[in-house]
Amino acid sequence: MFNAPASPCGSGRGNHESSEHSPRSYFREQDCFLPIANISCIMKKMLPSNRKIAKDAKETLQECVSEFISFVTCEVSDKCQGEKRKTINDDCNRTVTVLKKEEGAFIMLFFHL
Amino acid sequence: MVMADEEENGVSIQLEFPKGRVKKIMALDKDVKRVSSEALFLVSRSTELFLQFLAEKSAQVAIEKKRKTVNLEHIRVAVKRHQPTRDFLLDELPPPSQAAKPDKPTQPAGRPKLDPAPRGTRCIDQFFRKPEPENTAQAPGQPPENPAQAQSPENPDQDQAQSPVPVDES
Repeated sequence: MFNAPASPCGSGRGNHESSEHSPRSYFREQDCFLPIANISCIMKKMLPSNRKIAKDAKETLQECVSEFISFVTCEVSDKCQGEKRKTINDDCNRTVTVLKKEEGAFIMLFFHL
Repeated sequence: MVMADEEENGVSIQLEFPKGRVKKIMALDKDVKRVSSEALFLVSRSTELFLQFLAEKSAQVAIEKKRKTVNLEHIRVAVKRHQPTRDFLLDELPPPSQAAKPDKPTQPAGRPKLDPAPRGTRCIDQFFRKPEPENTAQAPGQPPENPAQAQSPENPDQDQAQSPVPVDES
């Protein structure tokens, strides 16, 4: 199910560059991943000052974050189709309420929308 | 605290992820044809919170294991502990065998073989003894090639050296 979003990107763009940098990724990092500098910055904010992050951990979270975006987009898109709407809007408004109420439980509630 | 202040203001929240990149990832879904700016903002914001959540949990795992560096295994444990994240992320994480790789390169560097020094000396003796007549017959240009060739069959010679140990000693 989640392989579908990856295939068009893989077919549309060259895989050679991605294979050279990281064999685990199926498409170009520059196009389909968020910048690792941003990810590293956010991670460091959540870690104690004496903690460090391994490079492979950053790269894995980079992939996890992209997968999260695809997952959320897919879920909301399914709901929009059910309600016959093309723009992802109303369902995201519910997320606002969730985010404002309980930050710590946003993932749990969001996944059960 | 900083997070709470930003959320109270609402408008002042600054997204840390580039909008174009997030939008491109969202557009990978074939069903998505149009993404409003509000939806883009919300997905970016929830992605930030998700990353912070994962980073915090991974840090807790690292602390439990008394490690100063958060590595791949800590992320996997953190993902497994959270059911919703586990459902859609566990398949995306690299298999445990790959996670073990960063530990391997340090170990083989030392080559934990038994008694490398005496075996090395035995191998050298064997190489000098066996090909002596061939070396004299061949040109002097080939002697430097012999040690290069000798390096590759080191392993089988070491295996052979085990059985004729008493012969070498005598």
